[in-house]
Amino acid sequence: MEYEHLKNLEPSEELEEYLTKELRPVAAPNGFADRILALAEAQAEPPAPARAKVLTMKPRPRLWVPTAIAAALLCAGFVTRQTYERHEQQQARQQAEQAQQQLDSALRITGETLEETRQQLRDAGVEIGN
Amino acid sequence: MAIETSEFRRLIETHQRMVFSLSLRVTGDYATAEEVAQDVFLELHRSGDRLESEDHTRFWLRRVAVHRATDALRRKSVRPESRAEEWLEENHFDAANEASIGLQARIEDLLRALPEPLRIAIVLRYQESMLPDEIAELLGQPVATVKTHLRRALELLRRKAPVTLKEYVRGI
Repeated sequence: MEYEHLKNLEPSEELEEYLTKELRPVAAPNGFADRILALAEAQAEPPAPARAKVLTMKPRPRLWVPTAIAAALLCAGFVTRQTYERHEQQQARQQAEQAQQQLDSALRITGETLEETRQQLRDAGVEIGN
Repeated sequence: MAIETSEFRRLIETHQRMVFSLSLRVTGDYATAEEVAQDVFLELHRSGDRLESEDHTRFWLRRVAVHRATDALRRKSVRPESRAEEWLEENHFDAANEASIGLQARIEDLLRALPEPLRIAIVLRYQESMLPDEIAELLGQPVATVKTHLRRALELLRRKAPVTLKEYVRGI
């Protein structure tokens, strides 16, 4: 009856009976429990006290390095922006001057043409107003 | 918190055979099995207070022992896992020496030659007398997989163990 359940797997009672008989648990090595208890005790011991701290001056972190880098980057950005703005202003001024010169030229040419036309009319005896 | 020394000793003495035998039959190596069993109990010592009952402890020990033994087997390559096909082709027994080898030694040889998942299933089934659904729960595998492993393992053993069996049958 002890091996009744084994028949559910395969119709090979002999082999299964053999396995059940031969695969009995074997004894642990001698002193096994004592060795484990000793190891467990050793592991459970409190850790050695921490070594006394020696007061030492901690080296101050070099904060000035990143600050200097940040400042340099800021300055470089400022100078670049100033240079760019100055260049833009200069360009705008030049364009304005060019436009003024063109206007002056156009006005001059127009005045001259107008005066020439008036003279021709006057020479032809045509009376004109102002 | 670890369990108390007297309770821990009782647990070791109650379960050491089971844990050591599982480790031995999975790894196939005595020294490795001792290391594995030792680790299992030390882990029990650290986490023992979480175990609620004797059944729970037994289940926990079986599972941890199988997992640790499997890890040790893979890590140390105590014995490379055999493939079923290779196993069938190899001759694991020297006919001339068969008479001098005890049954126990031969069954251990047979087991060691089985592929790892099949070996674990057989050990749990016949050493621990566990049913397939209990093995499945322990290993976290489907019951069908466990049954397949058992069937396959028995098939392989049956093809390699006729001589051993005859001796056994004559002996009883």
